Amino acid sequence: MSAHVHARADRIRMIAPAVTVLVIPGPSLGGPDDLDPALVRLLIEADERGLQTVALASRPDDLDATPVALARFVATDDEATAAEAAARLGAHRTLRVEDASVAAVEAWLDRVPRVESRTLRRRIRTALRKIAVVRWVYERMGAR
Amino acid sequence: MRADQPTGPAPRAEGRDIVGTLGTDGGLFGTAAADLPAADGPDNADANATAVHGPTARIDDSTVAWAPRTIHSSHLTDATTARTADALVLRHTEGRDELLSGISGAVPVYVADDASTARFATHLSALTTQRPVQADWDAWADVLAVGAPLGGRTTVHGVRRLRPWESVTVEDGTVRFQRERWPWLDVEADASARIEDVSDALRAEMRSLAENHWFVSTLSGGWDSRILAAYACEAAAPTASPRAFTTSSDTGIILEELVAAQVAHRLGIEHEIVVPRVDRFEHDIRAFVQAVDHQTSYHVWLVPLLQRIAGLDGLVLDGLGGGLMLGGDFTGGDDRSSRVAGLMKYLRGAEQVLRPEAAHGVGERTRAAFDAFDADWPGVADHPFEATFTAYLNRTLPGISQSPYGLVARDHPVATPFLADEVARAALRIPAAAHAGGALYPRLTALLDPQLAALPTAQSRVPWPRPHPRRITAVESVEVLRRLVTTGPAAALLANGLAEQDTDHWTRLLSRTGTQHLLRSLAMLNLWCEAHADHLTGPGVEELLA
Repeated sequence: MSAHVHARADRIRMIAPAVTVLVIPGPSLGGPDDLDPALVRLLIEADERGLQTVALASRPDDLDATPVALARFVATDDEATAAEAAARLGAHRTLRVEDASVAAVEAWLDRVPRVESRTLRRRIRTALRKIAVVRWVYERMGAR
Repeated sequence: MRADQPTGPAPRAEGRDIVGTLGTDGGLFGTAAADLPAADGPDNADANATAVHGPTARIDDSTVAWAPRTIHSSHLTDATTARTADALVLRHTEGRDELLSGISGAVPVYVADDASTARFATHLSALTTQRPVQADWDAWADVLAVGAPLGGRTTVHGVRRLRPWESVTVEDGTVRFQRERWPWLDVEADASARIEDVSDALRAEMRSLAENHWFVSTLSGGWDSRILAAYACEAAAPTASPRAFTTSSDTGIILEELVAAQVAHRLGIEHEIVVPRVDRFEHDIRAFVQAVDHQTSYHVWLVPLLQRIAGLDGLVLDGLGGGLMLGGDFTGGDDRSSRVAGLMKYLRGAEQVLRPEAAHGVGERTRAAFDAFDADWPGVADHPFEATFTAYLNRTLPGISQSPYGLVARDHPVATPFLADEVARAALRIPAAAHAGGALYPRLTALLDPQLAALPTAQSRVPWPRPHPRRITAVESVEVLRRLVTTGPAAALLANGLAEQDTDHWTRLLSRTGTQHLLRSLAMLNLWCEAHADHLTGPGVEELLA
């Protein structure tokens, strides 16, 4: 079972607390062509919470859809789409998967990296900064 | 042409620029003042003398005004009103040629002092083509420490950029630069000044612009572009609704794009998000520094948006100066010296990028530039808007202004309404304390749309710690920057061993504001050397080592 919990962005209205990855299908996989106000609100909540967003694409023109273009990762099962995604986003943000359909997400979800700010090192640092004395030291360092 | 060389916002054959020479035998406008453009027009070019492309207005027999947007002589009664309308003014009288900058100083105009004549141009490259070029190393130190050259310098020795309300005169074979007291320093705070006055001034400005242009909004998730978009919607004819475009300033998150989408939806305007491509990064950085004549490397991320709107015939609204005139930016810090140190923030952690002698040398030169600033602008240090004017004259004008007036104006008419004289004056009449914390922003917005005023900005929603890496830290971009930084004379300034460090190390440097700025600026220095390779003279980059 994946360490990630995912939700499909075009099928929910609120993001449950346990969700760590928001999945956004491309138009050819039944996802939205464009942003609507509800999707914008959802993506804002995801960004505020520092969630990963992964778009599913099976054709190069999926990448032109704004919700897909804004995703942090693109997962694709198509050679040409993978090449184009790597050119647009960079190789590190392109996931080559066997099946990019929504039903097959769990098979590769573990390959989505944890969000940098949720790594143990960053969480410890963040927690320390909440302690007044440590925060004071940080601020003094920043002011120099 | 190399495949990775810019094809984007390059100057058009019939762009908006002005180039000429003061003090030639034939007079500023060729053989006689009669050679002045005969009437207001979009494109008055005189092939024999001063070349003027783009909107001009003739004020009288000896005077013409130029701006990167439509201006009308009916609104301009003399040189002063033209300058107050932020136009550049060219004046030729018997034996005397003058070039006068506008009230904001935001439109770059460069002047090369040739002893008995002075060449001028709105694009610096027009003054250096096929001529010997020498680096101004004080200016390059400022680029590294602050973001752009200070004190009216440019990266080219002997070429100056005119500051607000400055002029250059050639008379009897003598070139003289002169700066009168800047009128914005004399705007007096008034406890009875109201935000409604700013709103009225902004409305009038937008109505005037709407007479000749339809609007393109470069909408972000912040206040400035939101306010301009809202006022543009009010001023535009029902059949000429503004169009909005948004791109990412590479913060690692997409809140800018998403909040912009909310604003556009609220205003009911067409909106498009432009997402940059990693494989165009080298193209973008080359295109940007070329377009701004290698004066700053601030806004490389804007290039893809410009390519998207290429060919659209709208006036691009830019929020330049809004954060200072209205938003109370850069007012932090306990005292003036700490605020000046704050402007040199890019040198924090400089030893990770620069060798110690370079970090020291750059710091010394830029500190001297700030000392000179205090002597040069005696009205600023004790002014109630001291922090505003210090940041405006040392950051906004030399650096940020290049984004609208260096890059965007190459291909589009541009306006920066927060720097329109009446708007700026109305904002400066409101006491400085009332500007703190951006308190005026929602009030100005609410006068048009209270719901829009209540919508949180992207900045107010940014999570901390930053959850995602910036786009510039993509492996592909890191390798481009590493090559641009380590290939060329600027490599001599690098900290020992940096060139050989692994990609992860470079990624960490590019994920932090200060060190990323230094690396971008060093890349620009190498690109500047590359652009002038056949004509470079004078001392080399070693000058920066103290």
